[in-house]
Amino acid sequence: MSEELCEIIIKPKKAFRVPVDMELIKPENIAGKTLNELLNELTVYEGNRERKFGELFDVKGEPVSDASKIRLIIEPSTRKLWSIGMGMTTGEIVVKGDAGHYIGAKMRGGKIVIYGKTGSWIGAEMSGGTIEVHGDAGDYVGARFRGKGSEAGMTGGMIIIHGNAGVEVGRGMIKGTIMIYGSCLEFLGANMKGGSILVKGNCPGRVGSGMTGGKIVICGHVNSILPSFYIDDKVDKTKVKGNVIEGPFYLFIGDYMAAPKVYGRLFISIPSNPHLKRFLELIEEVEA
Amino acid sequence: MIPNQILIKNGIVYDPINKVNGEKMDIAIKNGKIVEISQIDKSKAKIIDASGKIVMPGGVDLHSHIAGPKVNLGRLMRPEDHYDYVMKLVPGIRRSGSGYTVPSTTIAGYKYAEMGYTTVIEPASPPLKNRHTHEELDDTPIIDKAVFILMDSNWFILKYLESNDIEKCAAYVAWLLEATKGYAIKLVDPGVAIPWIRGKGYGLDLDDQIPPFNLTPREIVTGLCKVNEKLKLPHPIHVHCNKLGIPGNYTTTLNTMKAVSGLAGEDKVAMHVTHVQFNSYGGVSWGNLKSRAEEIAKYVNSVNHITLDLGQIIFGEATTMTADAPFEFALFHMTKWKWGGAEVEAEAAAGIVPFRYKAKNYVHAIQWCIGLEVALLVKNPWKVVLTTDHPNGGPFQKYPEVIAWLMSRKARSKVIEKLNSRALREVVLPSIEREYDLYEIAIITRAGPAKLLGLESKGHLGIGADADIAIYDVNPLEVDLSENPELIIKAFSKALYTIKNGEIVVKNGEVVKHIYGTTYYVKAKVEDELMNQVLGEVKNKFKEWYTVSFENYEIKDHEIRNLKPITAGGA
Repeated sequence: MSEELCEIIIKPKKAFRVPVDMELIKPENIAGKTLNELLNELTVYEGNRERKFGELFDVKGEPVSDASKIRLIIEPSTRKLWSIGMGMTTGEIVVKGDAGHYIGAKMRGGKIVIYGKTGSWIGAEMSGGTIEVHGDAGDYVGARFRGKGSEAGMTGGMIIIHGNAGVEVGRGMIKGTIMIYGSCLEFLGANMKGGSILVKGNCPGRVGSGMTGGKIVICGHVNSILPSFYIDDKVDKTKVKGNVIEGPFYLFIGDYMAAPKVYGRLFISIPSNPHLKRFLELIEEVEA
Repeated sequence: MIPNQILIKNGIVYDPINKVNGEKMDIAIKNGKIVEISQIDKSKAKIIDASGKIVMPGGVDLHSHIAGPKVNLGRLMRPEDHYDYVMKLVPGIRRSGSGYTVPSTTIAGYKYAEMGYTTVIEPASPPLKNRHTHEELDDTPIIDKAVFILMDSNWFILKYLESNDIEKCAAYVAWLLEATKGYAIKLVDPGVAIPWIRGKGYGLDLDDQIPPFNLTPREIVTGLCKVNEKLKLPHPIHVHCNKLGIPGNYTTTLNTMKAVSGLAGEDKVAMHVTHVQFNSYGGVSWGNLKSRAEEIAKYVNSVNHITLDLGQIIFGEATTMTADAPFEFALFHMTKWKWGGAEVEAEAAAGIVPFRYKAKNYVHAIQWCIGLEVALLVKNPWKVVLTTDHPNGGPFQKYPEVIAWLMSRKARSKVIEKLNSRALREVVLPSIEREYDLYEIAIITRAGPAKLLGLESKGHLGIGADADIAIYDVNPLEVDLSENPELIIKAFSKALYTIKNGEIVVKNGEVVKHIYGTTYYVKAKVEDELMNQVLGEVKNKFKEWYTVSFENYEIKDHEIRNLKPITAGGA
């Protein structure tokens, strides 16, 4: 992307006490509008009240007509701003500060960068684009929404989290990549069907519960492996989205509770997990 | 208070009960009733110009699961049904709501009103949880409503039927209807909740025993049919036949129909067979499912004691929910997604499984054809009621599409093109030429069900009828609707006006007023001596069996908004 992006700076007029739904504030809705139109035509919900965008925010900059050349900068942002970039298709959003739930959920393209903590459901059911969080994320990163069947889930794009993440990262994921440089909580990659997840830190357990496909790589400590996973091999390195991750790793296949034939692969670091040594012995036994 | 007067001028009126077929006439409304034109003051009345528009009585749906414990369980189970279907609050006019196949009470009321429907019946509620059903119905805006009570697996009824004591059984049924404020006897896969307590009961047939009772479903159906006749209830027994949704079940359906033959008087309806589409299957497995709509229609054409409703399926999302719990459990093993079971403790049973009907699926394509075949092959429209068994076959919001399929061969062939090609070899639908006209549509959506329910002030526009009126913006005298099915869908989806109790509640397809309708229930007459004897027995058993006391079981009149009794046997 060229450096000549049209920067539009959005600044809240007050400290919000109730969540503000920012779903409509995305580059494709802003492109081609004059500043006046932008402030008076776009609406946001503050709690259950519909407000004009201009009532709650100050905006600096004049949007160009090409949405892909727009960079929205929300500064300072707080936990009360929800649904930033939900369903966006192009352009860029930079959030300076914390953000609430549903950031980049159902996103189809473009880029969101957050310099702060975020709430839950980051990039839930997204199908394209990139989300980068320079901080911690909440639960259900890249997960599918509650109640949906196996046909739903993240189907593309990339989520990078430089801090920690909560439970059920990538639940029901079908395609795409999630990289977490910190640690995450239980049910990582539950019901996953495809795609890949990398966790540089630790994970307490129940990894890949119900997964039938896809790849999970954990470089840190894992409390235990579900009994429905079988040890398959020991590998020296693996790749996530073209990046080589040095091991060595245990390779498990599972989850055999989910279906009779499954392709889910679990790479667990050998040096970080001395308590899983018995699996190494199993592999050596077979090889001998 | 100024009397509420409305004059609807020059509408093209379809009113089958009064044999008005597309005549241009004026209709006058005063104080919520239809009156002679001379009785209203034209200078004070609000005048609605309906020239070139269809005027029909408000729609009556006698089978739509819109309230009750199992609908609520369906809502809990399906959050995904609610994300994308949201109705916003309009302050002072209407409340908010969400949901598509299992909508919240507000959406159910508003959407029905927007389609011109003004009376809707919740067809299956377990008696013990009927207080909940009434609370939900109380919260459902605009429409009038009533509840059918599940009785086929009720311990008392089975005990009385076992000893062949129709008198006492009738007294108990009369008490139960009044205590739970119910409207009619509903049977769902008769007797199935008894084996289901032990996890069995799938495919229970008409002559199978249901231990520990020395009874068969046939005896339950005929017994309750006699009870119904004895009490002279306004609606015949409402039966969901045994073996629903199992290939080859049409013989069971025919046998059930034959079993009640002659139990009601001459030319009187003894039994309403509900969602007959699910009960008209031939073949031995899903792989070779056949349509047996022709056999069903042939029998119904030859007798006078049976009426049907369709249970037409709509391709797309549905939530199957029925008191036939073992069938739902079997369905869950097919869909492998979600299942909810409930109410075994509440004198019934229920199961809920989300479902999606697909045109390219052999079974679903045949199911789609069966519903329409039954509707088109049964010659007398008074024997047919339009339903989708909401939300089992599809959501009620899709009724206009069903109307279009019935009225237009062109609309049908558009869908038939997309159907599974193997299924098309097994069905007769493509060769059926019949098209319903608006008069027949008015019968199957209004007059017929109103008459069948025994609601004398509903379903027609005669003097003294309730002023429940729908006006649709399409001129059948100018355009050929069978050639323009999209106009049918457009007109019937969004009524130009819906008038409920003399108040305009919908204008241009949008709700403009939030009001509450009436809840009907049936009061049946039983001799005091017999009733006291039966209640004595019931009270004793309450202490033994029930989690609630006898006094708390009965729903009191003040608990329900706008309650109105209908006295059984007339007068």
